[in-house]
Amino acid sequence: MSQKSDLRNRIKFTLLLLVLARLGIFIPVPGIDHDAFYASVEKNTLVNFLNIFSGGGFSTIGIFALGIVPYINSSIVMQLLTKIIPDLEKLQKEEGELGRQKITQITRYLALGWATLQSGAISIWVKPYVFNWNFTFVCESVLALTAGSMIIMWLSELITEKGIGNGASLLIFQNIVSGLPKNFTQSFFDANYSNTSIKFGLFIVIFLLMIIITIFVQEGTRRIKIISARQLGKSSILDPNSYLPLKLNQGGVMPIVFASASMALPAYLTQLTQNTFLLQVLYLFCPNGSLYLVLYSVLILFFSYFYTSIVMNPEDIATNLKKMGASIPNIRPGQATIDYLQVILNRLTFLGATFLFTVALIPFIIEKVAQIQNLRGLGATSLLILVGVAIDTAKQIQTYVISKKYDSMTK
Amino acid sequence: MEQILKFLWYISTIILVFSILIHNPKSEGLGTIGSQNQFFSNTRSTENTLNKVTWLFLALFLLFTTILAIN
Repeated sequence: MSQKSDLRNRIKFTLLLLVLARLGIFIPVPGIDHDAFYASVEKNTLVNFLNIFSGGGFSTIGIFALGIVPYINSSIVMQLLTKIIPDLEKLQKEEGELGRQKITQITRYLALGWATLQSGAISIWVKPYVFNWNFTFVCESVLALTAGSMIIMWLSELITEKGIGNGASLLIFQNIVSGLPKNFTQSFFDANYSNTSIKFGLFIVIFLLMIIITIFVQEGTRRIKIISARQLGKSSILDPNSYLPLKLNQGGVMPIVFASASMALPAYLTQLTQNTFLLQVLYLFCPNGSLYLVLYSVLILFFSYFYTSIVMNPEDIATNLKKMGASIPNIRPGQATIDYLQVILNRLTFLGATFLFTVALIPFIIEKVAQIQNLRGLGATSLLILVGVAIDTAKQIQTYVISKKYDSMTK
Repeated sequence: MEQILKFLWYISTIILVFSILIHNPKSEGLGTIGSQNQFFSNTRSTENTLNKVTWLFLALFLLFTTILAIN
């Protein structure tokens, strides 16, 4: 009975924090003519893109406008750095819990720096819409936006720690969902479109199809049969129940989240530079540019491999198998096993990333065929994240329930 | 009045950011998703106090910002 209420409390806590995170989006930063600003950015592609992650907070310049983005970006940077700088890698791999905590701490400081920079850029950018633009205003809005971003970061940590699911991805999830109604109305109920009902029907079918494909990709596992010393005596037939599950998509949603967060970078840079040549190059990588999809696919592939290398280390698996006295049939323990696993992982990751990208591509094709506008913001990025986060969270709840059951058994 | 409010706002915001930063979260952020250890967290008492302080200043920050925005 107590475990049930414990789970309920965790879920309640999570929901409460999510509501709080949503609320802050509507508390405006003081001193800005919000109506004028809102009217002017409504058609801006960059702002619309950023709104995906901040749940519309960006166009209202609420105190949580930056959302979880600085934290995600600094996580990306830190993950990359741990691969490059040996000291950091040592922290992550050899120092155990303490080392990882140190890395988390550095990530948070980096997030603070990032948030400060970004909010500085925003406070200069909104200059035309400010009643009284001066140094004090810049200071205040930087402080407000940075604090907002830090609050969101903290809330996400609280959710991960004391609630259920992964805080950061849940916050992104919520922001995407909150943008959905607006996206729908823009796509279908615009006066310029004909055959709305047919298009809507088509859209629903494709939407469901994409969800199904995504679930398959996220859940697909390659089962590598293993045999343990204990089994050997009993029979010569392999026990079908003992296998090593290798997921098709090890990183889960993270490659997509990271890839799409990085995709915002070129769009950002266009706001900063005036150089026409640079601008032309950068526009190629913006949401409507011709190289956008290419970059997106490369990034998905890159982050998939990257994540697999972090989550699954063939050497560790091989060592663990050895410790358990288990091995893969017909493969020698040690180096041969490591090589074998590495090859399989590489192939799996490539397939997984290709699948991910194919799913991401569907909305673009539909858009061309059916001439539905505005599907992009929703389609490519958001749907994968939505499905992934939903599955992840459901799984975590299951894991939680099971682990509580075990706990009560041993007591 | 406005000046005092602004001053209080500055103070609460800075303390808030500071108190969030000195947290030392057990959860490992986005980095290692799916690590199994997150359910075995035991909160230390300093962490508890820190949590309370952070919540307090979070509330103050939201309150002051709202008041300032209304003005």
